[in-house]
Amino acid sequence: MLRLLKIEWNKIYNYKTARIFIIIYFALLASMGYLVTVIKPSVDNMSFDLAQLGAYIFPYVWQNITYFADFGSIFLGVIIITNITNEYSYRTIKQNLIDGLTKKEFLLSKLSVSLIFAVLSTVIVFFACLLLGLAYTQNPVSIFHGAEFILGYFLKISVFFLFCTLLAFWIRRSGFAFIVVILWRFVETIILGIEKIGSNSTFYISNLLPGNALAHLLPVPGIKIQNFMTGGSIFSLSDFQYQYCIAAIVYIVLFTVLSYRLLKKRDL
Amino acid sequence: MNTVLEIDKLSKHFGSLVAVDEISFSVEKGNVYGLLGPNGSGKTTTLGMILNVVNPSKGSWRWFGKTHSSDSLKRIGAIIERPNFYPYLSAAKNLQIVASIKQVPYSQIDEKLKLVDLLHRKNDRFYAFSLGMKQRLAIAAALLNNPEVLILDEPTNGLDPQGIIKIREIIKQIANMGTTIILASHLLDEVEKVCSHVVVLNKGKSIYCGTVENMSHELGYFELAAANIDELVTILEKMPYFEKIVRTQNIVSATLKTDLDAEELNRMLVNHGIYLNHLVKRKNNLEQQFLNLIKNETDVTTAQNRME
Repeated sequence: MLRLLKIEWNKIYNYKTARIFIIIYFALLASMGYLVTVIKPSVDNMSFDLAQLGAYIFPYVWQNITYFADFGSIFLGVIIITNITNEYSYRTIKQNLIDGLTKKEFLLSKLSVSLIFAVLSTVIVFFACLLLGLAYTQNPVSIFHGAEFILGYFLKISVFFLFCTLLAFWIRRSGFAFIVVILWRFVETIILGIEKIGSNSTFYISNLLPGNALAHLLPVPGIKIQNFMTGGSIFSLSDFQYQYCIAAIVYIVLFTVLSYRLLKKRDL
Repeated sequence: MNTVLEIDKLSKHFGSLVAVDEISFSVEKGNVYGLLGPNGSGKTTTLGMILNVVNPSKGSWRWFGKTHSSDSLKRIGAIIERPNFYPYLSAAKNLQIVASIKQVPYSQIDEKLKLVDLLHRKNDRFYAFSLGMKQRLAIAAALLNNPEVLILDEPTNGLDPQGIIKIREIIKQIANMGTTIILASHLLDEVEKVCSHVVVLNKGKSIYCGTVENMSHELGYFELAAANIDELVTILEKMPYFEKIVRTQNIVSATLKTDLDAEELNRMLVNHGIYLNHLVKRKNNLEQQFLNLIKNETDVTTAQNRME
């Protein structure tokens, strides 16, 4: 495993664009805890101070920050896709296999990088939430109430990275793979919209599509004015829906298996 | 155990196209093999299959007497088609990746770069290399694990004369170290210069596998000239040794059907009162032999088709 990581490290870290992307991403993520406190969006000349609205107090901080941090994962998605499609355009995948790397090892080396990205992001986001919460929460509350969203964040970005991996192996061209990643979200939303027409059911089957299922893991933070009126946070904590964790794990397995099958079956 | 590679009825179909059709041959240790064939005869596909990057449709092969695994690849060095490296990495960094894959220490890198005369460019990026240098770097990469077998696919394709000579020298040097080499090429002249054995492929079939000398059973031909060329032809035609006599301007070429040495022929002609001013005994070069082989094969196929 260490050998595979060493190989990947040489490939990615010495690639200037990837290196810059990775450094910017992790620097932004790590400084997010500070940055969110200085950014004060203004709407209609009214300045919103999220801190005063109670965005960073426990337990709401867990949901708010993970929801926000998730947008950054597109950065790493780009790196994951180019890291794989480059192997095809340089034909180095062929040479790697001729040199004695097995197809399984090749896939593992790519997955291990995604895993490291996911774990590192999760750890940074966890500490950002924890520090913000500790700094802004005045009333004594349970610190880890709502911390399930960290698990949701980890699963969501992991599935996203694997989705990028699968598309890269499947399409082999970075440009097309990016387009599919972007369009995919719209397609799922449209499918869900169509399913909802003329239906008032509480469960929709297209919620189980990867993008829709993942969206339920990190729902949009809710807002409750009356809480704010009574001196609390304007935000409300959504229920963490564990059933979508199962969906995420199913997709992790599925995308891995499909990537391996693609790699195994195709001639290079 | 002297058989390095055995290929048994290996086939590859791309849809309805049969790229490789039940190829069987074996490679013995220590020899330099030329894999010959016109473009599209299945050379690269065959190499791709035995190197595990192209999935075979049928058939099997054994490396070093064992069923194929990635461990056998670690005893092989191979370059297919063109040098494939990460363009943004330096020569040394590229070789570090190969060394990690092949599980050999980085200390090998400088040694191999020196062998291909690239040590002074080790920190330059791959994209800045000339084609000849890229090809040499590929050879260095293939040699990193001190392979028992080296597979080279068209190693001199697109190179200038100096580049070709340099690669050829490196190949000879490697062959002298006792490494088995399989060299795929359509440049016959090249194969003739470095190979002891040949495998000839045509339209996805292997039509010959053996030493270069045994490739044809021809006895060769004489090139003769004399002052009285008409008389020379008449006398030659009366002799029982030749199957074909062709006169082109001042030279007569007579193809042998039974063995005859030049001295003997000279003596007989003198007895007939002919004094030669030109006498050479030649054998067809590889190119002609190869073309004959391909031609015979095509003739047989056409004949079969007609019979059907």
